Amino acid sequence: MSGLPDLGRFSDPALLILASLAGGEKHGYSMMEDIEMISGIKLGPGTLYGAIGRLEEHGFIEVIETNDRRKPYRLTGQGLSALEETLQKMNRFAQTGLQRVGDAK
Amino acid sequence: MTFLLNLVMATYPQTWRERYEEEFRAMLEQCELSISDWLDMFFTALETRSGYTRRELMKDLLNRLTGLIALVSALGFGSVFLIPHEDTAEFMLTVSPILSVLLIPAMHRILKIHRPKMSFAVMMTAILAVLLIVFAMVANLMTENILIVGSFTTMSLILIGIWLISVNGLAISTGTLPLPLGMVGIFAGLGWIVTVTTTMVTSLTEMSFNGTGLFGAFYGVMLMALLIGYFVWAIGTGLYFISGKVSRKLQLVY
Repeated sequence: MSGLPDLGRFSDPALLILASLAGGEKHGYSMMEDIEMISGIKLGPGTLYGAIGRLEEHGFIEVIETNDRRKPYRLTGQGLSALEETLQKMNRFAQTGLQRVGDAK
Repeated sequence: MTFLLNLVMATYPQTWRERYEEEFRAMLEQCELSISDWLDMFFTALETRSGYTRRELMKDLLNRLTGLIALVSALGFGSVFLIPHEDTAEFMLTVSPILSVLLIPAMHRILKIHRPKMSFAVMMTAILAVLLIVFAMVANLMTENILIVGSFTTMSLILIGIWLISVNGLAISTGTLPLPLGMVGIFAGLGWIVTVTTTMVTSLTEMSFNGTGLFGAFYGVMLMALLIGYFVWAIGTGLYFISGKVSRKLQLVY
């Protein structure tokens, strides 16, 4: 497993969704609110469900069956690993970047 | 709003609707939708249906829009024969080719069809033509000297003819348009230059050319090349662009 696959323009929203679901299961509207809170990015409803569809297709998230019309989603084990790997890569990049900024000062 | 939502939903593919529509609608009931949200839903629906990105879809849309403009321009050009008012007819006769000739290379530039250097030369010709038209209009307001106004107008119209020829030359060399359509466009460009130049020279110098003889025959052929050639070229190019064949050729979509 090497992080998220190439999801085109849905790559960034997909990462935000995975990060949001890492905090617990959520339905669409809660995800939108949570993502805006943690990242300041407001995902459009079309983009959100475009990314949800692709993530579900790749087996990174799964729906929890309820009687409610609003369906909650949760991370799968595969989704959690992909998120962890992607964030670690970003973290390494951020660490190196910050170190270089520190050296340059 | 319900009507608009149903319309957007209808844009999504059936399989997507079966799986997500109910929960998607439930989520939207909680949202205050802005215009950008509606656009987002519409474009995502198109992306989901076609499997292509919205950038590719926009290029295809612009491509087809150019074809539509060429088609409208051709119809405007043809309508000249139905317009009794001489000044309006003359205006349509000049504006219609300019419209499509200006837009199609601009589109090619956006789509990066042509090699940059050649495309740059074509674009410069266009810019010069537009500048000269502006100068002619300003000169018309500033002075009554018909020679100055006429010179600017003639130069700009000749450049548009050159542009029509070069655009079709490029289209042939890159295989963007079918060869017969490009050839018709080149003849229309030649016809445009000869007709425009002759008309301007006669009106500026009050010379009158004898309609008979070798020049008369040549002028007649050039006039036909302009009238029929441009009409056929614009209709053909318009339909070719609208049909999405250019997009397919560029592997933008499909």
